[in-house]
Amino acid sequence: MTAPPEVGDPPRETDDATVMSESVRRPERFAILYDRYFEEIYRYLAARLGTEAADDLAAETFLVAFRKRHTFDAERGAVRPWLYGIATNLVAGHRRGLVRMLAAFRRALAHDAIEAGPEDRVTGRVDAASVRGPLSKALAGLSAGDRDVLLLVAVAGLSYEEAAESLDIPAGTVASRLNRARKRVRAVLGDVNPMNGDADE
Amino acid sequence: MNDLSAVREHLAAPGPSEETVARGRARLQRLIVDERTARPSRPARSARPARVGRDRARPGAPGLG
Repeated sequence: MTAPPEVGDPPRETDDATVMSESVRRPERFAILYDRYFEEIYRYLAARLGTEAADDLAAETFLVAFRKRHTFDAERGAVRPWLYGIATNLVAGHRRGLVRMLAAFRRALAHDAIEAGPEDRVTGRVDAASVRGPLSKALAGLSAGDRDVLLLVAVAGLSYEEAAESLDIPAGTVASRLNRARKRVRAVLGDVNPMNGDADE
Repeated sequence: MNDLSAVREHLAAPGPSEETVARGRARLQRLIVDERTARPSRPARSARPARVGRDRARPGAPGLG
């Protein structure tokens, strides 16, 4: 029987990078990061894919992170954006899976009027499945890269630098993607305030 | 409200249920246990002769070795 992980643990307020480092030799320490970040990672995933997918992918994010913890490099960024990067990759994988499924569905039901289109349009619809109204149109129209940046900043609350760490891209690219995404959102929103109710509620 | 906060508020999702949190933690715990089981928790000792009997159960006991 394994000893309870809490026995002999250092104080819980230990910083993330230290916990991550300790978890390489003491894997039970990794549970601290789960306790700290599971809820916000879940909310991010639920905002992007809905709660059903988030139920599975939020946990999967931490399983992937646990398996890859040896590769975490504190010199290249913090733990939190690293976790969001993993979650964002899982979103992309999830979308690809759905796109494949939809493609198979289309082939099987060739007589149906299921519209074919570029992957981004399909994945955009999937990604925006949890939203309604004008924002869903704006998000669906974004490229996957622009959408990732927008949602990491707007939903997850990451800084430009953290979003860059998450996606392993230069901060300048984050800025240009975000600028482009925000223009699209503003253009679609126009004068509509999405907080003032949705027509399809 | 700017466009970023509009996006954030509009996409706001409920937090996970206690069951979801517990299920995810249980999955992680299984992985942790698997790893602890698969490898020793401390590095291999140097070429020291293996102890037997009571001494083996008390590797840190003074006066040994």
